[in-house]
Amino acid sequence: MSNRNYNVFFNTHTVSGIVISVALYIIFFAGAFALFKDEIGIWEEGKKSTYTNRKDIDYDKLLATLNKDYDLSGRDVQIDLGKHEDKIYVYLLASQDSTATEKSKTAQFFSLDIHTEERKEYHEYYGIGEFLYRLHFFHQIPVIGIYLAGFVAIFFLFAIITGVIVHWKKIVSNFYTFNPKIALKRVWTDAHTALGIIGLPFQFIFAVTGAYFCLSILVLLPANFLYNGDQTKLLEDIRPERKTYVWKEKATEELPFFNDFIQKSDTFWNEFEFTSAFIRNYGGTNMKYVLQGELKDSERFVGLGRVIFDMETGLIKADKNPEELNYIEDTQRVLTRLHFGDFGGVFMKIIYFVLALITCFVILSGVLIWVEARNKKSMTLSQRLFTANIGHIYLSICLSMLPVTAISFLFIKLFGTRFTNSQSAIYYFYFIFWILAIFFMRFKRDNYKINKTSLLLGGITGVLIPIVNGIVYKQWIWTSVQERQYDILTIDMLWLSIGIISLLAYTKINEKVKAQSSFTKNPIDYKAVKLQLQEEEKSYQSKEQTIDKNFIAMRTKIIILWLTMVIGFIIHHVYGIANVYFQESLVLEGADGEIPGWAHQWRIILEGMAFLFAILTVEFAQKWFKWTSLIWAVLLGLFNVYHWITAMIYEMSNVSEILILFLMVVANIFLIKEILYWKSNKAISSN
Amino acid sequence: MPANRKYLTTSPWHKGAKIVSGILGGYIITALLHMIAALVLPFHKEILISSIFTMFIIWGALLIIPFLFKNGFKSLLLYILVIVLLYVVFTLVQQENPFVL
Repeated sequence: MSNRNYNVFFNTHTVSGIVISVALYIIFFAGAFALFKDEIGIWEEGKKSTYTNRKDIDYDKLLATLNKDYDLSGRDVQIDLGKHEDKIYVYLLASQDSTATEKSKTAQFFSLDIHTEERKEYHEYYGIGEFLYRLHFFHQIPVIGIYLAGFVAIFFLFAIITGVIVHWKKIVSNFYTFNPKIALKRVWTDAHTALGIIGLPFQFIFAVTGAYFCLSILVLLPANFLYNGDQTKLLEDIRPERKTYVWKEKATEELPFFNDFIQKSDTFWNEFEFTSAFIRNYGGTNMKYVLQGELKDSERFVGLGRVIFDMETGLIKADKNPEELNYIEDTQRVLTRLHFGDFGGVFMKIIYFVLALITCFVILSGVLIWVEARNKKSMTLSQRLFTANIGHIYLSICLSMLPVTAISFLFIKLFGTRFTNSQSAIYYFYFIFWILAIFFMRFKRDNYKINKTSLLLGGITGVLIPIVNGIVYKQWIWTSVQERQYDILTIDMLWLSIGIISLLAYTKINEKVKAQSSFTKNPIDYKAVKLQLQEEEKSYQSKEQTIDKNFIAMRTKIIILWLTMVIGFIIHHVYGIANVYFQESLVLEGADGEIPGWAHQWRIILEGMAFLFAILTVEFAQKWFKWTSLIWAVLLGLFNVYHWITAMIYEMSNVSEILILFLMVVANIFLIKEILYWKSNKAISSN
Repeated sequence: MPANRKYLTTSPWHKGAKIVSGILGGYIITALLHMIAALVLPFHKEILISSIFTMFIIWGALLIIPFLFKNGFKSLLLYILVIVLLYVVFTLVQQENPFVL
């Protein structure tokens, strides 16, 4: 690879990495916990969860109650059967039947306890697991959050590819010479590369699948073109289970039992588990029951199966055999499997969790390399302050996530049930606490201290989590083992290990490591910063005296721009008069030889004032004058933009006129820019 | 050890042209490539669904290429030419569209 290409790749890797680093860290950190979303939900509720085989649930009883409360007639019912507890998630779509009752016209979504039939709205069963899951694609930012996360994923892919190219030659040697005892920066570059390569397949999977989940619209867009905009057909082809049917009419006979259907479906394949159920056109003549599920992951990596009962024919048939692969459906399942790590049980999730945290390490070490390499004696103080500041802010945001998440777990465990709307409770607690922590840590202005504080706080709280669960809820780790509450056990053990590892790391990191940082060797003295900056500016200014042939003095520029305005208005008037060549009458309606007052007003306000400012700028440079110029330039700018837009709307064919008006807008923008610069007084000598 | 500045583009216009050609041009090229592939190759639907993996990988690669150019506008021009070319191919092969039959 040529020297140039190497440096170009290096730079793109650095820039893309730095730009996305914080967002990516948040995604991976929150995403790591999101792997255990279901377990966290059960842990939070703390009830001894039971698990009924999905085929033994009394669906007909549940549906009867729902029918009584929500009138299911003509609705599509979608049920997520859940995996861990006796709770299912029901989504009722609005009724397609035009003659249906009012209460069947609104969509509903809630969780449903299969024994007590207790229903909970989304914001009521919202927990810290759901919160972290949503945070990992920035769902808390309305509308654009998910696309933002998608583009972070794309640039992550970009950073991975460029990173591999840049480090290609060093990869093997670095892998073997990974040695934490060498100088600090060496450790970081080594660890950054070595761990980056170890996690490479994992990170690549997440960049690609993550981009797909957030930006699936960009995949559907070309497909939509191919289908000539027929989205229904497209979705039927790629998501057959989502196929809907047009409502015909209400069935007169009694509805067949869903329980019978699931019992019969269960005989089709061995080791098959149901994951979701769909009822299309409830109570209609063409009602359909659909059951979807898959083979246990110990049987097959992907094995989607689907059974359909058709009311019209009265037949039950297998729509998709899980033992035979179907490329279209199973490819999509492969992608979700890879992303969610929902195969191989808890063991696989722990591997995913560790790899996600390793990725967090790679991201942060990358930021630290960037910060370290930009604190040299040869650099100006303002440059060094800028990088140091970014380093502090980035580290505060990222590292404070550990204690904030841990304490939020404790908070929600202890007080979560006191809020009717647990969603906003978590939002307020997590985000306010996070912001406070960021400010607190950032003003330590010391990455070493930021790291230590977050490890100590996170470590203590992490260890406290299983202890609190034991003391307050009598759910000690060993009780969980005895009662076979493995979901609760997983979360307690997870936090216990995180806590212990954090505390161990806390004791292992000492001042000796810090001493090797370039910030110790070449420190920034924050008390004297102001004075040093002023000195630097002076020396900077004296250096700048060299002659630049392209240089136009500030006020000359401004005067030229004001005059450009005047010329623009003149051309505008000339174009108006020029209409006489094309035999348009120039005399306006009601003209009597006198120039009316409004014409004078406009002439003075537009070209007169611009002319005036051009002349005055020759002699005046006081502060008030700069301010007046700025205000007038902005007002004139607004007028020019308005003028240009109306011209485009009302006289689109008058191209030459529109061009002149557009150029005036451009000149006006330059004018405002220059006056702002003039006002800020940064301009050199020539004032 | 930041990258050596002497090899890097300094002009914001050239940088902008590279980024635009990478993000926008890269996406359009990727989309057209996938559309053509789904039309031309056998197993149309299977090819189409494969784009959930390949779309972002190819886009990612096309994101990098413009940065190898010294002149950002050349990369933009190249991407535009490729887009025009692929679009012509697309309109030709689209006449027999198995997806709308």
